[in-house]
Amino acid sequence: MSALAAFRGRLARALPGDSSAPLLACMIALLGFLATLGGGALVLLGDDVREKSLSLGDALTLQIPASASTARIEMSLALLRQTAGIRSVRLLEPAETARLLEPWLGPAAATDTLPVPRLVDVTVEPHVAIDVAGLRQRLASIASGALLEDHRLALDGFRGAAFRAEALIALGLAAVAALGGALTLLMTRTRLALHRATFELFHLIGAADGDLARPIQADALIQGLLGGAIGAVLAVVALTAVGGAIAPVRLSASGFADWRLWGVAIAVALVAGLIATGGARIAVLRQLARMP
Amino acid sequence: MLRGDAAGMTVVGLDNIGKSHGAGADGLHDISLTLETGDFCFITGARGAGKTTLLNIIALADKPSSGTLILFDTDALEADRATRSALRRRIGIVFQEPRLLDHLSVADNIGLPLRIAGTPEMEIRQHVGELADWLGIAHRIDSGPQALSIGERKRAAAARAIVSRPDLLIADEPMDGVDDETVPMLMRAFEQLHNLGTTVLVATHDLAFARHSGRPSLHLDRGALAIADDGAAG
Repeated sequence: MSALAAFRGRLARALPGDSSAPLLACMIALLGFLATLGGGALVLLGDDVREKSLSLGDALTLQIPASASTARIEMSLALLRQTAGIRSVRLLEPAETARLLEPWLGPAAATDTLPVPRLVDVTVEPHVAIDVAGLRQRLASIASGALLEDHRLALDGFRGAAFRAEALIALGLAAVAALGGALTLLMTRTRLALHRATFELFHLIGAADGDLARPIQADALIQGLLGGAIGAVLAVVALTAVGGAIAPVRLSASGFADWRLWGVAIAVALVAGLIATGGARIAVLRQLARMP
Repeated sequence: MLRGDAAGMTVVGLDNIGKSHGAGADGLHDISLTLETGDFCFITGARGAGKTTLLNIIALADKPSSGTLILFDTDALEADRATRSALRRRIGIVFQEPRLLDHLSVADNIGLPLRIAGTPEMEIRQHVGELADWLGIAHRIDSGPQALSIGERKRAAAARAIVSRPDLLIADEPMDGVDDETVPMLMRAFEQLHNLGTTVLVATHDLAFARHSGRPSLHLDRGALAIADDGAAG
């Protein structure tokens, strides 16, 4: 007896074939595709939040108007360096500022003739409260029009939005899982209804509920794993192919080489198999429970 | 009420079994009956008298509305599902309709109870082959049931019921609509099984056939046991 035959149980050979199996696999593939897209989005969104937290979590930027004199710039820098809680202060060179503006102005822009403000990159000590409002006032009194941007506020907003997006995706994944279970339940019930006389006969001549459920569960597990795997692989391909173009999630995954996407795909296939098995088992046992 | 050896096990014990099919429909009324190991009896009665209902209750294919059912000294109505499945495996049933499965070969149909019981494949083939040969359907063993005549279908159904050598054989109108060749073949099979210790219960509407068998018979009339005829042998 082959391993597959042993896995399907001794009654498998005597049960009629399931013509709806390919349809179930296709439907699970579709759900697996959606689940993998959702799971991949969760992974990549998490990446984005982590990356932004690292780059912006302790950063302030000071913009000093182009008209400000060198002395006022130096005074502003000195004020920042003396402020408790500020770890480092770095005045960006005009060339660095030009590189930052390049995506908007293009490489040919003559930034030296434009009134481009001087930028100061300020790093603060983590978890130290700084009186940003007071600091803004003092900087403005040194260099009129100086603007101190606190990226930590923007980061809080981004984190909130990301959390809401993650919650929505998780809800969607739960809905997809529930749909998969309901679908398997329905398809198994249809199979049982189509072959009701056969199952009744098995029951009447002494087949135990578990023995009758086993081959149907095994079939559902195979369809679930197969469908889930196909859908998951297609989703990884789709994520890799179009990932870079999806906004606002900036996909930093390195395509097929990103093991985490494959981890999501494997998890989706396994969960699809388990859900299909559970749905089939519930359907069989419920149906058998109606028999005396 | 039939009584066998006092020391024997109660194979079937019905105590005031009732079955209601709803207002206006005949069911079963206060049926009490005991069959012990080695009993062989007929239940006679016109069509619609309740024979099939009674056999279905004994075979655990239906639940009575009232009363107690003992199978192999076990209260079958109080037993859990696993126990009821185990009790069913000790019963061979020849249904009124052969109920052969079209997607299986005749051999696989006959071997079904053995497969359910977990008998090794080689043993299944051997038992099925011997039985099919004995019942004259060996040449049809690899065919589908659709290829069989009515008599051959009945024989295949009977073979399925007795292949596992059950402790109780229940046959519902096994001779109904079969040819002259099949009737003695089936009776010989039932007798042979009985000689091996199986308790046999056969329902038929053919009173003459039951009398001719020389076995005790019970008569069902509109859901009630009306006549007990102990026959010539018992």
